Amino acid sequence: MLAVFEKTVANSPEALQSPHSGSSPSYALKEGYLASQFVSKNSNSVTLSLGSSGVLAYSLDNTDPLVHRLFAVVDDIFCVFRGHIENLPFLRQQYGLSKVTNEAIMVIEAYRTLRDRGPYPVDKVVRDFHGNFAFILFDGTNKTVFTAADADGTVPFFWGTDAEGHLVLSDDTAIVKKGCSKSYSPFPKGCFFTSSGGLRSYEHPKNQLKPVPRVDSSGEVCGATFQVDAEAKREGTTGMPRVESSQNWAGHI
Amino acid sequence: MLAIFQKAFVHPPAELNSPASHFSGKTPKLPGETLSDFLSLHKDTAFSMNFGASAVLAYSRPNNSLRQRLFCGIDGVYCMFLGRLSNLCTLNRQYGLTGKNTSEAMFVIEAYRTLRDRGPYPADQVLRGLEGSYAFVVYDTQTSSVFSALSSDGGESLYWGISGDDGSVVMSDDVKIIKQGCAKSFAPFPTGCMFHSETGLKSFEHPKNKMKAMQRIDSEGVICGANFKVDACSKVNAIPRRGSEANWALANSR
Repeated sequence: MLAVFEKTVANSPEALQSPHSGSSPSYALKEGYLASQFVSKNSNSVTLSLGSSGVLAYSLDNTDPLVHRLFAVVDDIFCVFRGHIENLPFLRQQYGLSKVTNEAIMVIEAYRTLRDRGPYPVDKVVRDFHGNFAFILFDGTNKTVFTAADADGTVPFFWGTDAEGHLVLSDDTAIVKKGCSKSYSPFPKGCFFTSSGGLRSYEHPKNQLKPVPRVDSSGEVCGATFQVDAEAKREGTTGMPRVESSQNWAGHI
Repeated sequence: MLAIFQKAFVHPPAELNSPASHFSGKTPKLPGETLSDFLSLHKDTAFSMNFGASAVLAYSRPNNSLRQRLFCGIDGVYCMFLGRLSNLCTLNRQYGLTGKNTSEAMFVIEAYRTLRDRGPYPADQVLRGLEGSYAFVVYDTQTSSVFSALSSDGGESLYWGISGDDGSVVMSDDVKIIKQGCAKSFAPFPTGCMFHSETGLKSFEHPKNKMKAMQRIDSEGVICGANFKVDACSKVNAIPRRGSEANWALANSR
C-alpha cells in the first residue's frame, strides 16, 4: 500500500527530512511519479487520486492469507488497512456495525466517531485495537489524515518526506526510498499521526516524542526515529484535566 | 459521477455505437481525456480510482444536497449511487444490515453480493422491490463485472456511451461529459432496466421480454446511439419450472 499526501493536508515532522537528500531530490507527487512506480511494481493494483490532496494506491494481490490487506471507502472516508485486529468482534459490537464489517470499515467507523462525537480521546481508541496492524485513513470532507501502527511494529510500515515536503507512507521500503531518497524512516511503533495533532504516542499520550536521527548503512543521516521522551511531557497535558462526562474530545483529534 | 470500463469484459449493446461518431466533426475521445475533463470540471471535490487498464471510477462530492450522490467501496465491490431509496429501512432489515449507518450505496453493495454469491431471487425481483428514484453503477473487482440500473420513474438520469478507439463503455449522470467523450455514440440509459456485463441489458419490470434497440436521431439529423425499449411481442422464454434450490445468481440468470 502507498499513500502520498500533499503538504497542506499532512504536515510531516521536520525531523524526517534528511540534510543529505538535496543531491538527488525525488518528487513523489509530481506527475504521479511514485504512484506509477507502485503500479509498475504491483501488477494488480488500484490507484486513487484524491484530487489535489494526494494519491492512495494499494495492491489487490493477496498472497498472504494471514495478513489482511483491506481497502474501504465509505462516506468520503478512505482507509487502507494492513494486518489483523484480534478483538474485531468486540469492536464491531462497540461501534454498532453489522456482520459485513472488516477491519477497514471498523477503523472508518471509529474515526467517524472520533470526528463527530468525540466521546473518548484518540489514544484510547487506538489502544483498544489489539493486534498487528498499520492503517492509513484519509477523510475527504475535512481533508485530514489519520494513520497509526501497532505497538509491536510487526507490520512493516515506513514514512518519509519527499523533496517538496509531501508525506509518503507505505509498507514497501523500496517505494518509500524512491519517493524520499534519504528522508524516511520506519513509522514509530505504538504511535499515531493526525493532520491536526501531528505525531503522538498512544501508549504514552502525555509524553512528548523525541526525534533521534538515525544513520543508515552508508553512514548518512537518514530520517529520524521517534522515541517517547520519558521526562518531557506535552504542553497542555500536565496534570489530569478536569473533565466531566460531557467532555467533547472531538476537538483533540 | 463517471465510470469507464474496458470493452473486453463489459460487452455493451452494439447499437450504442453510432457510425456517425467518426464522420462528424467531433471524434470520440480517449478514456483518459474524458477522465481529465471530468476532474477538471470538479477540481476540488473529485477523486478517481484507477483499476489498472480495466476500469476507472470517478466521483465528485455534490456541493448541494438536493440530489444525493454516494460512493462506497467494501470488499472489492464499488458502488456509485444517485438518488434515494424510500424503503431503505425495510431493505436494510431484510438484508441484515444495521440501519443506523447503512447508506443506500452500502445496501446496494450488499444486495449485489447476495445476488452474486447466493442468488436466492432473480435480480429483477430484487430491483422491483426498491422504491424511489435512483440510479447506480456497481463495479465488482473480484469477478470484473459491472451491474447498473435505473429506476422506472426516471427521477435520476444516467447516460451511457462508447468512447475511444477501444470501445470502452462510459457511464455518467452528466450528459455534457458523455457528449464530449462519446461524440455521437451515446444514449440515455433506459428507465426501468438493469445492465449486467455478462447477461446484458434487461428490463426488470418486464423481465421476460427482450429489449429492442431503436435508433435515435439527434438534432443534427445523425444517428446517435440507440434508445432501448421493451419489445412487447418477443418473450425470452416461458416461466421455467423451478424448485426451491434454484440458483438465480446474476451470472447464471437467463
